[in-house]
Amino acid sequence: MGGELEQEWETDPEKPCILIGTQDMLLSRALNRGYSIKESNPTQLLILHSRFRAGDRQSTLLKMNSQLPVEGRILVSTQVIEAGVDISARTLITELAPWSSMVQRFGRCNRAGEFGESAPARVICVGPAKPEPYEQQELDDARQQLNSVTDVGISHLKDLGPGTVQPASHVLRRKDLIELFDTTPDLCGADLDVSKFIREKDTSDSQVFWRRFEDERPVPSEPVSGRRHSRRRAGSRSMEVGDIPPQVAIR
Amino acid sequence: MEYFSEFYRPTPIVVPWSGSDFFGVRTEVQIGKSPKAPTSTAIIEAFLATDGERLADYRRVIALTLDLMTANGVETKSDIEGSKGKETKRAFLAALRSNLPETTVQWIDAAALIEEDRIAFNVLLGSGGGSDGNSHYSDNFMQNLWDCLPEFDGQRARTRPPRALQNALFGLPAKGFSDRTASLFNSGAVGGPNATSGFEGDSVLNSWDFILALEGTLCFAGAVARKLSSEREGSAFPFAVSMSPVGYGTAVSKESTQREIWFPVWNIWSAARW
Repeated sequence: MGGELEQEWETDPEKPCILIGTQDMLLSRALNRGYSIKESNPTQLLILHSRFRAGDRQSTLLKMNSQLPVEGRILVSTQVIEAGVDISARTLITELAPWSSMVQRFGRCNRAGEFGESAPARVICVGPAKPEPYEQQELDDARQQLNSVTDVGISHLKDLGPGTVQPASHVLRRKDLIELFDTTPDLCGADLDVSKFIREKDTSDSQVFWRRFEDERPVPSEPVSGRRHSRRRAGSRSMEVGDIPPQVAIR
Repeated sequence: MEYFSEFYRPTPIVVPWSGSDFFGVRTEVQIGKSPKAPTSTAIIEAFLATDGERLADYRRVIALTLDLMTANGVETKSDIEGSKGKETKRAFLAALRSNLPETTVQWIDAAALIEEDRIAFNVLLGSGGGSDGNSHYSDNFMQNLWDCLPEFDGQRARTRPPRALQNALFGLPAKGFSDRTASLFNSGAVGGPNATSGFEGDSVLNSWDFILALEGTLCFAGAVARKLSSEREGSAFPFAVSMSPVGYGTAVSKESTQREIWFPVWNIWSAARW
């Protein structure tokens, strides 16, 4: 943001505002943006991305839907809030994304038509420096779609085409499941290829929790596992593993 | 006999990824009587105009297909042609496979498989996945159903071919066959010079033969397979082989050959269930 827009930002602090920063793989970009806002603004700052655990994610969304503080509120998020999240903001600042994603993001702005003529809702789009993880063509197509409209309300979008073709996505059917136990298609014995049904195969994060025991096994007085924590079994005893701070993400 | 004429529910076979049949289909058309089976778009409209219960699945699949065409930006034939339409076609095929009922999934897998970067067709069903040159198997299948099923009596300006089913099932003599062709499925009946006792003969086809043949191809549905976690996936259709010109695959690296199918000969009855 710069120039005229920056001035407007100063004079008219947005309340509340969502900023969908970027893609997960460029998460640091979103976080940096989030924290730099924090330094210069008294607003309530929330951050959300796909590596939040379910509970933390829920708590952030609850905050987002709570009473708006006087200073306003900014949510910095990745595309994780594109769909399935019931939040609404007056201003949406988003990086350019494929058109179908853009349409989803528009849905996080003025969701119930609560912002009227006097303080209209706004969508501001900025171009990312690099297209990844999307294709440049997808972004070019989205930009073209965007340039053809001045209002991105649902009633104005319905006449536009689907934008770029989405890559083929596959749904596991009954036949696919049965074929796992059937050798008919390939009589030479090759394995059925299920890779097309696997999502998020490039995200290889996993979480590891651990705790130390004095002996080989936890003593009976160790706290038992609870609903809030992950459960692991050691022998016949259950042990609590979630209350130990060290956790690492392995890539 | 009674099963086929009264209860048999045809597998909804559609080939919207090839040819132009599905473009410009009107969903509510008054169908007049005709002595010959309509073709292309008109046969699809004829199916939509029926109200019989056993064609309900077929009508539903056609309607879903039309919806999926719109949803996937497939509005004209050129959208799925050539290198420009390649990805659209792949995505469209994946959408069809993901959304159409299970019976049609079986058909799609028999005709075409979606690999990571291309579509592979089963040679059993022509070079275009359910189409071979101008022969469009869904079109032909529907025309033959139109000839045989009582649901189309109101659209047909002639009676159903008598004893065609007896001929198809038991080889009993019959007459009144259509002059359409089953092309590759019955190459001896495609007509032409020396086809009969005169100089030239017409093609001849028992509609039930074609219907049963197409239903039978569903047994040859393939799947994408991978051998020993290799990088390259490959399509596998039952009994289909990739030929090697010299007998073993590593001898020639650059020559490519068409796939062939070598069926074992069954001489006893066999049952299929899925």
